[in-house]
Amino acid sequence: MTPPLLYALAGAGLFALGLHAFLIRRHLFWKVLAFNVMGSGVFLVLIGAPASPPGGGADPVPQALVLTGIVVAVSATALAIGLALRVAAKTGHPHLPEDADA
Amino acid sequence: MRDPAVHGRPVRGVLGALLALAAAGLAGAIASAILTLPERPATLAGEVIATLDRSGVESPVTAVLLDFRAYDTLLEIAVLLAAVVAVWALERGAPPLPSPSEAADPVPGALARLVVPLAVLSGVYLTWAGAYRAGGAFQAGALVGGALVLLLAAGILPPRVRAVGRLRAAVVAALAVFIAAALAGLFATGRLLDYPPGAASRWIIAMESALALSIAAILADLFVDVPALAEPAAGPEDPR
Repeated sequence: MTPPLLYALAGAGLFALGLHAFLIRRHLFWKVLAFNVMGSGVFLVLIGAPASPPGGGADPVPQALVLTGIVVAVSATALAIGLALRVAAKTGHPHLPEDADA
Repeated sequence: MRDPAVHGRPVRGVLGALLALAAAGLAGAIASAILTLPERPATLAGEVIATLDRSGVESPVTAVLLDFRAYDTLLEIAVLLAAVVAVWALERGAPPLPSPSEAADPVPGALARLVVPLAVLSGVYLTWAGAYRAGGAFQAGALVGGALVLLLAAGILPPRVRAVGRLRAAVVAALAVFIAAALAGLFATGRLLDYPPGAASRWIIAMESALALSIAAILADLFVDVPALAEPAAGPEDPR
């Protein structure tokens, strides 16, 4: 098993773990965190799955995609945490309305 | 002991078991898809390497980010700006968080005075190095953004960064430079985000510098402004 393949398989596992946590957790911060774990899994698959190009090294196109994705994910996470804080500030509990009475 | 009001109860029971099974099955399905990828999958790496000398930079990743797919990077910085503007809109009227006092805890300040100049120097180097090897505006922006966060945590910078007009200008600088470069390229070459032959590397270094500056300012701004959103109902004594 080559290291890139190991990264890709770990990415598949991380994505499923994140999705599971996203579905079973009601706390909004958990959901944001789980979504980030899912995203990290996608990045690992994108980096690990492509074969090395003929010239050696890593494929630059998925690398550029992931680099862009990481920066967007950081800012989107900040916005999501801000929205979750706002929900908690307005309603008194950090859940979505449909999860609040559970 | 977990307080359900704080943590919320996770889904358990039959539904929880089904969801765990489904997630495990999904992991297996993705893994088997990865393992059965064709031996020589579709890749654009060959095209990138073959046209690298026309891009004006030597690093293939930077060539993709700022030349071949500069449009993606333009939209990316627009997404970052949109996130910051959304946070600004949410926090309207929220009181600013108190500034940490340097007298109460001198350690962050001492650390910041050691680390921040090195981080800024490394950020400048990373921006420049992006044209030739691993590096570039994103790594540099993250590093300088971290330095700004350290300055804020130490109380050296005032906590309301966005009240400082220059930092607000830094937040929008990259998008402004990108749009200006896109339009200038349109007039010079007839194609959006194409660079005049021979000048590409100078254009890319200029755009990378603006990107690094804006990413650093945006990350630091989000770090300061997002916690302020929790303010109106900070404690359990909230009347509602």
